[in-house]
Amino acid sequence: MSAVIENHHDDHGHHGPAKGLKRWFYTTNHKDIGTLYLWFSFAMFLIGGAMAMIIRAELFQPGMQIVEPEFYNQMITLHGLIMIFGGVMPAFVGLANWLVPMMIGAPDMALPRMNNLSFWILPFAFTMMLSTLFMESGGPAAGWTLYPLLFQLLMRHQAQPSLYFLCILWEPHQ
Amino acid sequence: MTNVRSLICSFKTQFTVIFFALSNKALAEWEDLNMTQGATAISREVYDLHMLIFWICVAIGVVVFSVMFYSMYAFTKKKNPVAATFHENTKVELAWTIIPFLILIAMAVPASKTLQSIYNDEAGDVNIQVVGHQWYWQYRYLEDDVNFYANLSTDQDEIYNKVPKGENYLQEVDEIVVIPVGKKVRFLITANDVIHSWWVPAFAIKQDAIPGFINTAWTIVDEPGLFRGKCTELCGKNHGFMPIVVKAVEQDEYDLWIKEKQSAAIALAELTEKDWTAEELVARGESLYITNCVACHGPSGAGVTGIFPALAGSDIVLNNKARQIEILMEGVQGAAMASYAEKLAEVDMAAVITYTRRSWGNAEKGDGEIVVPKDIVEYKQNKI
Repeated sequence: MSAVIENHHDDHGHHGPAKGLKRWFYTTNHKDIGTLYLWFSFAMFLIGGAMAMIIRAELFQPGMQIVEPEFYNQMITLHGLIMIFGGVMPAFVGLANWLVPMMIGAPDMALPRMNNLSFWILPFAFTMMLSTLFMESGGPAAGWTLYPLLFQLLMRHQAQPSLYFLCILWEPHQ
Repeated sequence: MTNVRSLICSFKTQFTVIFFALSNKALAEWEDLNMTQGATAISREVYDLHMLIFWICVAIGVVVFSVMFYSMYAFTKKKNPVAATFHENTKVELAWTIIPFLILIAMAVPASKTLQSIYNDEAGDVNIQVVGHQWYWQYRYLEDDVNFYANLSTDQDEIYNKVPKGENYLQEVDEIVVIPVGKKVRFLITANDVIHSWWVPAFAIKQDAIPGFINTAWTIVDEPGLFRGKCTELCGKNHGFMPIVVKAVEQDEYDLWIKEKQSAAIALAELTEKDWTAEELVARGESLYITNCVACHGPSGAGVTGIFPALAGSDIVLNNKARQIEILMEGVQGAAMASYAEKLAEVDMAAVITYTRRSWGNAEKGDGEIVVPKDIVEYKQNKI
C-alpha cells in the first residue's frame, strides 16, 4: 500500500499540463480548449467590431466619407461572417467546452485530441479569410449570406471565393 | 387692471399655442419614427395590423413584467423565509398554453386576410414590368409599348461632398414611373443580373426581383402624389444608388404622358438617320456616359484596378472600333460588363462610344475614329 503511494509521489512531476505555448497547442483539457475558444472569439469580436466602426463612421453623415462602396461592401460582408462564425459560434462552443463536461459529470469531452484539433483549425480558417482583404480585388462583397448571382458575379473577378467556403465549411467540425 | 387681465389672457393664449405646437410637434415626430401609413388601402391595412400587433405586444409586456416585478417584490427571502414546496400546476400550465395560442390565432386571422389581398395577382388596368439591373430599374408598360430606364439623377458631386446635398439626395431619378390614380396597377417584378428588391413604402410593396422569376405586386393609389423608394437587396457596389420614384396622376394626365413617351421613342429612332459630326456625338455622349458608365469606369475613364477596366488609353477604345461596338452590344462573357443593346438607342450607343474615343486624350493616342448611328444599325443587320 505504501509502495503504491510512493510510486505515485515519484511520478508527480511528470503530470500536469505542459508549460508555455505547448500547453495550448497540445492540450486535451476541455477547460483549456474552452478558454482557447473564448479568447479566439474575443479577438474576432474585436476585429469584427472594428469593421462595424468603419461601417458606422462611413454612415455618420450622408455622402462618401472615408471608404468607397466596394470596400464598404467588403466590410459589411466580413463583419457578418466574422461576428457569426468567428465570434458567436466559437463563444458558444467555448462555453459548452467549459461547462458541459462538468454539468454531466464527465471527466472531459469525448475524443479530447480531436477537440484540440477542432479548435486549431479556426485560427487558420480566419487567417485565410482575412487575408483576402489584402488580395488585389479585395475581400468578399456580396453580404454575409453570400447570395448567389451577386456572389457568382463577384467571383468572376476574384480567385479566392473557394477560400470563404473552405473557412465556413471547416466551422461545423467544431 | 385691464392691463393685468389682458396680460393674463395673452399668457393663456400663448401657453395654449405653445402647448399645441409642442404636442403637434411630438405627434409629427412620432409619425416620423413610426411605420408610414402610406397612400393606399392596403398600406393602411398593413399599418393598422402593425399597430394592432404592437399594442398586443405592449399588453403582453405589461402583464408579464407586472407579474415578474410583483413576484420579485412580494416574495423576497425576507418577507417569505419559508419556500413553497408545491410543483406543477396543471391549471396554470393549461392557461399559459391556451391563451398564447388564442392570441396567435387572433393575430393570424386579420394578417392572413391582408396577405391574401396583397398576393392577388390578377391583371391590373395598367401592367408594368419592373426589371432590376445593376444599378437602375427598367419599366415596361405592357399595354402601351412604353419602355424606359430610371437612373439615379443625383449629381456625383453631391455624393462626393463637393456641393451641398439636395432635398431628395439619392432619392431622385431621371425617369419617373407615372401611374393613374384610382386604377389597379400591377407590377411584374424581375431582374436581369442579380437579385434586387423593389420597395415603395407608401404602397406597402417590397418585392424581391429575382432573375428567372416574376413576382407580382399591385396597388391602387387614391390621391395624386410623388412616392419614393429604394432597392432593398444588396446587389453590388451601387446598391444604394438605384432609387425608385413613382408619380400618381389623374387619368387624362396619364394618357397624355403615355402619348409623349411614345412620340419621344419615335423621335429618338429618327435621330439615327441624321448625319452626325464628332462634336455633336461627343456632346450627346457625355451625359450618357455619366448616367450609364461612370459607376464602373469612373468619371475620367480610369476604371477600378482588377475589376473594371480603364477606358482611358485602352487599346480597344483607341484602335479597335469594331470590337468596342461588339462589347457594348453583347456585353463581355464572364465579366461585369452587360449588353447595352436594349438600353441605349442606336444614336445613344454611337454617341457614348464616340465620347469615350474622343475623351481623356484618347483621340490623340488612338485612331480617333468616331462611331455614327449607322454603324450600330449595320452591326445589328450583320448580326441577323
